[in-house]
Amino acid sequence: MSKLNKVYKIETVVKFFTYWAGALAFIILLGKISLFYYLTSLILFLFSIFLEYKNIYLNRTFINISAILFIILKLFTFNLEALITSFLEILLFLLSLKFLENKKFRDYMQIYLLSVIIFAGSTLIFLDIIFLVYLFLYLIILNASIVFLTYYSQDPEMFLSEQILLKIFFKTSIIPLLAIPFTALFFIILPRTDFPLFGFLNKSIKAKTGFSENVKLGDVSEIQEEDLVVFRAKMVKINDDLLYWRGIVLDSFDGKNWFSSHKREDKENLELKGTSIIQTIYLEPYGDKYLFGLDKPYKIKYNIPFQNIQKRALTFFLPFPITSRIKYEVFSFLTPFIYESKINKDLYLQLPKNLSENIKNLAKTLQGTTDEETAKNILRFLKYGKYTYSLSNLPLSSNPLEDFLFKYKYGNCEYFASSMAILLRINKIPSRLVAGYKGGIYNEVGKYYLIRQKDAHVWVEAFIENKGWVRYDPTPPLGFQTYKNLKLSKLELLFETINYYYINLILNYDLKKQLSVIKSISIPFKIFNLKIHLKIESFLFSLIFILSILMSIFLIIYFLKISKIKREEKLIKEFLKILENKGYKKDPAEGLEEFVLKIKEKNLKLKAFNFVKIFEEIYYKDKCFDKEINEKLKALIKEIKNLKDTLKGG
Amino acid sequence: MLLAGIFGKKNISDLDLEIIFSEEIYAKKETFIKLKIINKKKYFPAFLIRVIMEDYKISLLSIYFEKEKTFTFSILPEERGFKYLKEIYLASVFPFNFFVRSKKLNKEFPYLVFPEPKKCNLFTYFGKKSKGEKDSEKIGSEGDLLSIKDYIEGTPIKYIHWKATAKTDKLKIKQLSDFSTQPFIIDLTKLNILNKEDKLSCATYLILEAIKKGIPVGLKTETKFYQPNLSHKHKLVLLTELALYE
Repeated sequence: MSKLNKVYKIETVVKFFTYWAGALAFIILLGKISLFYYLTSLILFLFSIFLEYKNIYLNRTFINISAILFIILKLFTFNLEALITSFLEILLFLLSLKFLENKKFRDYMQIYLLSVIIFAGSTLIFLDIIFLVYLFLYLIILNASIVFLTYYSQDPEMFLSEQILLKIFFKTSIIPLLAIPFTALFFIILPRTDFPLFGFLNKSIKAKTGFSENVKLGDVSEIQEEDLVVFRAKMVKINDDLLYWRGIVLDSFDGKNWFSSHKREDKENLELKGTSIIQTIYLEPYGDKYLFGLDKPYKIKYNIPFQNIQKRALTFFLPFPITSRIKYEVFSFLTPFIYESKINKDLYLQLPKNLSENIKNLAKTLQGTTDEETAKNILRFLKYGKYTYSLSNLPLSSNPLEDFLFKYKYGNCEYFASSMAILLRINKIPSRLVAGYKGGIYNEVGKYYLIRQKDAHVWVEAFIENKGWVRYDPTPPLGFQTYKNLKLSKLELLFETINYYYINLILNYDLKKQLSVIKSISIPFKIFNLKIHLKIESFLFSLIFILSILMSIFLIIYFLKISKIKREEKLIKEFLKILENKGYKKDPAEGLEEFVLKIKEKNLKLKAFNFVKIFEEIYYKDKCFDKEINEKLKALIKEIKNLKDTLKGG
Repeated sequence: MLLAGIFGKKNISDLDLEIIFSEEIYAKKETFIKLKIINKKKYFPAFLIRVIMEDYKISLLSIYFEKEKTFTFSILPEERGFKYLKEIYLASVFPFNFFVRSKKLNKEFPYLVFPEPKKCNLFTYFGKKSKGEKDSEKIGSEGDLLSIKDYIEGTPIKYIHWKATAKTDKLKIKQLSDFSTQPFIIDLTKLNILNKEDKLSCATYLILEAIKKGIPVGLKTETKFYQPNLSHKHKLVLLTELALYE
């Protein structure tokens, strides 16, 4: 016997692909949203598959009400900051609810729409390359779903043989395959990280200029200059000498590496004086967690959920490396000093073991009468002495500091800063390294500074009694400037400016902005044009949201009620009421006809019987109660009512 | 979206239609029509094509085909004469049901509808005058032997062709021509039915019956005369004459 060609009902096929599309939404959101919402939605989704097998569907009204209730519930915990995650949670839940319904064409389309929005939303938080794989799969499945749904729409009773099914599937998959190049284009131009994605592609052995958590000496011989943009800082133009972008403070040195001990001081009693300046920073995902600010930053305003900014020695960092472009505001004082009453001197006087006697001796020769004088001596010795700046042929050494000071006498900023800090420490002056960026190109059009990886810099802070931490930059200025292109070509500038505005647009496009637009439209807000605190703002937002939801629920219930008391029921109610007024009360167990026939007044009886006849004809035969009949019956009721009046009158 | 549009357009492009009508179509009698959609695209199959003929309220749906797909459907012609299958549309919602793409086919398919055959008695209309005035040259008590065929149960013994039976070892029977096999001519001018259509219907019925029974039949109209004949071609000629009779 020949093998039978399997035949599938079109609806089964549509369901198969639709459930897969739903499943992919779950896969993509795994670990991206809160576990509670994820599991709830997942259980509903699995339950819907089970119900699908049993051919049971939940009532649509019930589902809609639960969806509304869920949204209300969600609003109580709605976090304006965690906007995307919150929305994804809502969407996933709605998606799983939708699966519980008896699905019609419209419902399938809604499911696809929800899943598309989930995928679109995920692009903003999903940063793994595997996303491309999911996206690819999703596009194929979505395409097949819609194509088969199209077939379903043409004939729900259609059956497809396995062979035809596969042919349609494969041949129509060309559509998403062709669409992928377009998608890829959007994938690149959409605001998302490019750092973690292609990071594995350019792991070169040579070091590059750039910011790093540690300062390592003697490990690399050459440093390449990196043109990558690290951040853009929108602010007024200031003197170039003041452009120190603080990133991290390094307090410990082991002879080769500088690192942060992460020792928290009990209390930072800082005091800053100087011109205050606000910068809006658009930080690229550069691979680390530090937030830069113009020296000395004292406050950072950053509204991203679940990521508390930590602060230490006027440096700010997030718990995790930054993986997508972010925007924050920095409040800084332009000052080389940090007044601090009490510091952990042991920490800032730490010296590596086996420190060479040569260095110790050198330090002694640079000692002045005061700490400040010593510091100036050291600065002068390094900055204006026999040392030159270089990024190439750096000493590869196990004793890099000594080799730099006495043998090679050239190096990059890390050597200069390390030397100064150590020389200070030997002289019992607490010191530390500050790593960040120096300089930047000011874009006159966009009014912002462009800071690239090649601007990475390390400088020193020394603790001088009565003055606090003082910034010293021992790197020779000439050397520092030689590797720096201070200007961009016109074309570069053009692209850079476009880029900036694009980033600005995307990063600024958030709900709060929208809200402010709404706010400026509505008059009461305009009158109330006070500075509304963020909390009030989000509260107002939630309030409006809740109110609108409540209003829609009210409207839904209202309409439901109206449609429930149908015309016919309204009519019969009125009819019975009139007769009751006349003294004829219908027994609940009595039939209408039976009741009417009991009426004694002949005229009334006739009219009432007439009414009942027409009514029963429509009502019990499930005929449509159209307007015409309705009018007719209404007229009859009126006649009956008037009849009573005439009797009375007579 | 753009791709969907391109695919949708491509899907209904380069499609051709062929229609095969049955040889004899009669008014008010359901007739089956074969419709063949031909896909002239080399690598692009035709998905979800709907053929719509508004005049006949016909809508045919093809799920998928690569080169060609044949449908059989029936129509009920209203009246005799030359008719056209036109206003044929090819439509498809492929690929995403966003919109219906349709294309009018610039082709007309003519077909001829013969008058509706209506039963009428030959003698009622021809009257008794024809009785005894047989034009037929074939006179014989049992008619002529037309053919010999296998025995069918219930055939009277007198029809058994003994000679052939003996030859073949199988019971064979004679098929004889009937008395009424004498050729006749239907004269439309003399057919006394007032309604023209009824007259044509009756004539059609008579021609069909006659030829079914093997009686050569001829036709006479005001302008034309056809000698009696039995051939299929002759039948079609007569019916065409009736179909187009003014």
